[in-house]
Amino acid sequence: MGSLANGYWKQGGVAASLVLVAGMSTAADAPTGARPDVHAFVLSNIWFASPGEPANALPLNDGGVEIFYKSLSPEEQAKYATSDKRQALEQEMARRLGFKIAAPGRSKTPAGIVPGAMLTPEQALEIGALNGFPKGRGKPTYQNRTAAYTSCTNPEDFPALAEGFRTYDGPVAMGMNLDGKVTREDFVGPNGEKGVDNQLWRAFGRVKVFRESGNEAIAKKSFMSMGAPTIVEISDVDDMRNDPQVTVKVYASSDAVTRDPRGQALQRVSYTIIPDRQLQSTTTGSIRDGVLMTEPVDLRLQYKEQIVDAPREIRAARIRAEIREDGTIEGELMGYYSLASIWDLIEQMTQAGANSNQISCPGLRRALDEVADGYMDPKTKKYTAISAAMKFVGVRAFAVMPEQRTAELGS
Amino acid sequence: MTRPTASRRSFLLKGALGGAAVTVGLPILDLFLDNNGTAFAKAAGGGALPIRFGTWFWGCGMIPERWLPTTTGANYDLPVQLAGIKPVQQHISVLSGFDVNLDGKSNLPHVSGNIGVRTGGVADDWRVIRAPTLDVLIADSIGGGSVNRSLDLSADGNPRTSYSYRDGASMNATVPTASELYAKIFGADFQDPNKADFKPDPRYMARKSVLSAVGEQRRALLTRVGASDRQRLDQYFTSVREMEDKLALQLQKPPRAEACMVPQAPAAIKAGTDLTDFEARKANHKLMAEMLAMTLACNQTRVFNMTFSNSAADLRQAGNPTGYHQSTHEELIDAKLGYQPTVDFFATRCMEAWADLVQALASVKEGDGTLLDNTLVLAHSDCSFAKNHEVSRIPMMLAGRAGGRVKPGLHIKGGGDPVTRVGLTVQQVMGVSVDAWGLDSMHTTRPISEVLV
Amino acid sequence: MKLKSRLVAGSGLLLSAVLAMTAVVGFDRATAREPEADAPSNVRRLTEAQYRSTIADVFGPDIKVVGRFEPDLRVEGLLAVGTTAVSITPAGLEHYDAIAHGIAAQVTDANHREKLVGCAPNAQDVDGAQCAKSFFARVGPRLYRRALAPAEIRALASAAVSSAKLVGTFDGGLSTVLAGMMTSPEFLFRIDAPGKGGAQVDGYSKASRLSYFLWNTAPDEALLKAAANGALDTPEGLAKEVDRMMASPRLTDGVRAFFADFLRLDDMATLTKDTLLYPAFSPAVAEAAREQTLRTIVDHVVTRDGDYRDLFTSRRFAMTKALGPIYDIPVSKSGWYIHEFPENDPRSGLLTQASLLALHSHPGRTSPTLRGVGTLEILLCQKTPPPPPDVNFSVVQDVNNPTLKTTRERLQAHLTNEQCATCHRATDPIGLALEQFDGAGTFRTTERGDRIDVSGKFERQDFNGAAELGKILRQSPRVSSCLVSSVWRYANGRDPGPADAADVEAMKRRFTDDGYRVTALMRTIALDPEFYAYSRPQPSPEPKRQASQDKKGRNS
Repeated sequence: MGSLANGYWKQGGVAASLVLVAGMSTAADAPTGARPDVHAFVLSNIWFASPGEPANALPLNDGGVEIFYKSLSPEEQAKYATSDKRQALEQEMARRLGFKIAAPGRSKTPAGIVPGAMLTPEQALEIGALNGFPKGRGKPTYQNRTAAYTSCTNPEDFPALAEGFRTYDGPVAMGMNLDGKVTREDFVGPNGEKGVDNQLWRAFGRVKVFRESGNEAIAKKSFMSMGAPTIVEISDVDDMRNDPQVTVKVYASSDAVTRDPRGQALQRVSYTIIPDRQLQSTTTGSIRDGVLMTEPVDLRLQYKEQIVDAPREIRAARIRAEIREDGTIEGELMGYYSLASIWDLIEQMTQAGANSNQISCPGLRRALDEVADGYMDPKTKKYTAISAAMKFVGVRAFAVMPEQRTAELGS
Repeated sequence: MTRPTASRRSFLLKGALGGAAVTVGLPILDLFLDNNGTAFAKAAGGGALPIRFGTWFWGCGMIPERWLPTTTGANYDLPVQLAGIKPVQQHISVLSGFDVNLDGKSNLPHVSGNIGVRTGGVADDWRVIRAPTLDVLIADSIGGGSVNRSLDLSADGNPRTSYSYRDGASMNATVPTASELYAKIFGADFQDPNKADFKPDPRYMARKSVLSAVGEQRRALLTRVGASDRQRLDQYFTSVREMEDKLALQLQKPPRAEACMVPQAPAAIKAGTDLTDFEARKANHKLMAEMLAMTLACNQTRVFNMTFSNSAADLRQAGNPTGYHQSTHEELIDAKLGYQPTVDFFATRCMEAWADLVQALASVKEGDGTLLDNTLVLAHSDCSFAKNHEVSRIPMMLAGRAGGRVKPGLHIKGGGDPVTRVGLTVQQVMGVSVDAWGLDSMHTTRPISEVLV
Repeated sequence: MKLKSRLVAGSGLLLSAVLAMTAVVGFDRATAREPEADAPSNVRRLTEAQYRSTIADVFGPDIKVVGRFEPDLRVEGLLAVGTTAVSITPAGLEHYDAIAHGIAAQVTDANHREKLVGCAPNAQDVDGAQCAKSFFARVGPRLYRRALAPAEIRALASAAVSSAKLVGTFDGGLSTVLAGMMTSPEFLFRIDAPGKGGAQVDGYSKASRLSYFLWNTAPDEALLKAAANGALDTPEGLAKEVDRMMASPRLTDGVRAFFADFLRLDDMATLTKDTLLYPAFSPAVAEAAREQTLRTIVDHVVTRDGDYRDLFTSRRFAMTKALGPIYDIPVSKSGWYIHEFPENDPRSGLLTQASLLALHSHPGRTSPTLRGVGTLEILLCQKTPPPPPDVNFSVVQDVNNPTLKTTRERLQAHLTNEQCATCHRATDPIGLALEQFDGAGTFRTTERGDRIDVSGKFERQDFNGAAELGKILRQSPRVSSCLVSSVWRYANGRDPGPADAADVEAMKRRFTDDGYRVTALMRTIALDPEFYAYSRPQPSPEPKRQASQDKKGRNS
């Protein structure tokens, strides 16, 4: 609540002396209001930032099913013309293009593979070999419990579905100038900032589902990866309005985001952070007029939503955020999204997911590979990451370390 | 047993007390109770269809200038706060200008007015009830023929929101949500009155005989304790007896109820739903009203009490730090409008909820008319103008025809007469053998003849 | 027809019986069913908590007790005192009956019957009568809290056998009779019986009083045995049992039960707050806040056997994750632990517990008056008269008033209007000291931009803020005196009469000498012979007959 925050905005001196006193008395825990120099936030949603035009402001790319449909003869098209025939159309597409699915237990299963267990890539190939998959093809999908061969597991095998996929070539996108250069392929930011690097938006910008989920009004109220949230903790803060040197840590928690009775994220909840160092990052930053900006840092953010468990790797990420007195935070996360983790995200969507979201996996994959612009692999001479901009919102929280495993006094 | 209960009772009472009229209800512990109450049912019904009685209560009254109709008799005008009853106005009589007389006793805020209307007397101590509430008296008279002597309901999720008392320590707790009402009435023990095949369940026989053994401990126990403990234990044993009778009814084929249709089970209220929010309250109330209508149509009870909001009116609007009750005291009268806008808002909403209940009863066809035609409902509040806890001009309304005994759709002005005239009228309509009612200066012998057929 | 003729013949009897009834009913006198001042009640209805703990003790904690209980009645501030005022209404009995059947069904189900019943009809016991007898012999004394005569056990067993014939299974018959026992007055009420000589209650009644006081549950096997062999009638025997019970971890249950009643924490179950204004408050948080207060108190008065008065200044608060947002502190431990706020922290003492702060507030804002009245009435045993009915607030309370921003400013008229000030001068300063805690119990320093002033006076001593007020209350003799009289009233289930005054005064002195330790006070009461005094009922006319008892076989 605003009045509580006021205590820290204006009475820094008093708060500091509270901390001193706290340090002196033995066995005393946090004072009312906890440490005044630490401000943590739990993020309720991190989404691909859209510059704000309506979703259908321009022609959108067809999804795989639409492309397949257009490839049919007129007679065949007539068979699948109405929406009640949609499922039959998808099945026909799978049949004709040779998609395969094999779930252990329901399909031929190699010895030693237990139905329902998580599959390794090798096991998926084994299952594929036994179930008529093309040689060397087959990947774990559906939370790694099923082997599949589709245009989303192996987009390179279905170039026809990539036909006609258009990248977004509008002038404006969210983000910042990550490489310091202003080139032809850069965007202009919504505020006129030049040299904005957001090649991801070039690939996503004409795909309906990404345009729609970038709608801020909806995104701000949605919860994504609610069971596996990201925590941002700003510490060493002397003044929340202006401070040239603060520390920023990014954590992951397996505590689900707590919602208040209105359905919004509840403020001041304690989240236990996951000790896995891969999911922790530290960097420095500064606050000017209430806006935080960090130095670049490599991030690995957990993302678990429905059947998708695809951590987001973002290299040289910078966080720019407005920290408000009402306890909320809103900002952007800009950096180079690794292609491997984006591919993983798309692949985990499954063919069924791609079909219902009007996505062509081969088209998207080809576009990503073509417009990627970061971290070139010296051996393959191919870029391994793509500039991107994401937005996030969150509320004030506490990041706490996992409990010590010593006997507690308890009550 | 075919002798009508009313005259048998009056015979006994007059004989026993030398002709003096009884003005309080005695516990049913005594000999007045029939084997299984069917005689009660017939007598009060006077015909095939039973007559039901109910009370409806809302807290914190109204704003007189915006609630009181100006014309009297039929087709009375509908002031702004009564706009909600327009669709059902023809079923509703408004009784205005009836007072609770305090006779020098304290005006206990939100208590005196309510108790005055329902018990016919006021007291100085909030815990004191000088007579049972009139719904208890009516239930004693006609309730014995039903599975439930009476049904106490509240729409606020709180079983303590009840104004049905036999005495100061015995409040009849309520069923406070639609799903609990459903479970109680249409749950495992429900006997569909229209099911063709009926076989008495031996479990009820077993349970009844066990309860009877419990009842037999009565004499031994009562001799062990003092006078006031005896009263309390006696009340307990009366409850045991009532349960026995209820079980006995389960062993008989229930009388056919043509309008009875078992409703769908409603969803339980979502955890965390704030029932002080007026929207949530109205929704729960409407659902309960519909379930109540079917409960009555299936003859599961003949007497009910519904409390829409307690006398301190805990209704609120989400986001507004000041609720209904606080607003009645704290809200300034708007200079332009001439009244308290928030108070006006809530009072109007309460009247809409009242209309929901009346509509629910009117929607069930029964016989040549509707369930409402065979029901009499008394609606009232605890005060008129809540800012000062005024107990004069307490707003009251009647709905229904009570099987043809009552004329609906009239506005009657009380001219300062005591509220007990209303209480006396409803008791007489429902067949309670009483020719006077009320205590101290509220004692009256005059029912409101204008509404009587 | 039989009924009518009997009535006509018996009308004379009827007349006297009805007259006696009218006199007993006494509706024409302005008294409620309070225990008569000259004859304390001998009949106490079990509270919901006592019912549940009794069932858990007899049948095990995994037996689910499901249903609505007849609400307990709070009289003179305590539900325990209300136990001597309440009876059971028809709807209430229906609920008890349903709960009892639910319990009985579980006792005889496949999961439990082996352990709880342990036998079944067989070749040697074809109708199961022996099995039923052994079952009721074991369970009966625990449920009725007294010895059962062999005839009683035989009657129960034979009822079970006949019920079994009706319903078709032995278990069905057994459970029907068991349910009947739990609907019986001997289970639902604690009814005192006189001991030898009539000055004190009998051993079993002593066992019940002791057990429901110290552990809030029915007497266990050991205590029932001590009652049976007369040990409780000797000072040594009584002391031995009291020592045993006070040393047990179950003492915590009794202490919790007292403080939950004393502090009226049951109201937290129905407490709601505006979700827009206090999003951190939810029913789960309300439950956690209640639990917090009880655990905090137990930690202090039981685990550490501390000075009661220190509860008003202690910064040790039981804490759990759900309460983190309300207290605005990080919580890393799971479950419950004791959190200690640093010295000089505004959180200090019982008055700053979220439970009390939230209970005595409105759904959408604080109320210094409610908090002041609550503190005075509950913790100082000082009653405040109700407000006059015709109070006109038209000048005073406008939340959006641009010049009167804080609650203190808006309550000025309470103090300037002499009619109001007589009471509000006593109540408001206490509540105003707590204004830094909002209606959900969260700390704040400003209200709508203005700094909150928490200074005031109590009993002529100045204070600034809740912590200093806590120190003043700690020193007030009224606080400790109120606790003693409240524990006395709780234990006895009634208000003290003139005959008890000396006893209570002695207890207050003893409490001081014992270092204000609550456990010591409980021991004092448990060992006090007055605690076991029998209240002799006045001689009464023959109870009026019930129709059912005069006609045999009518109800079968």
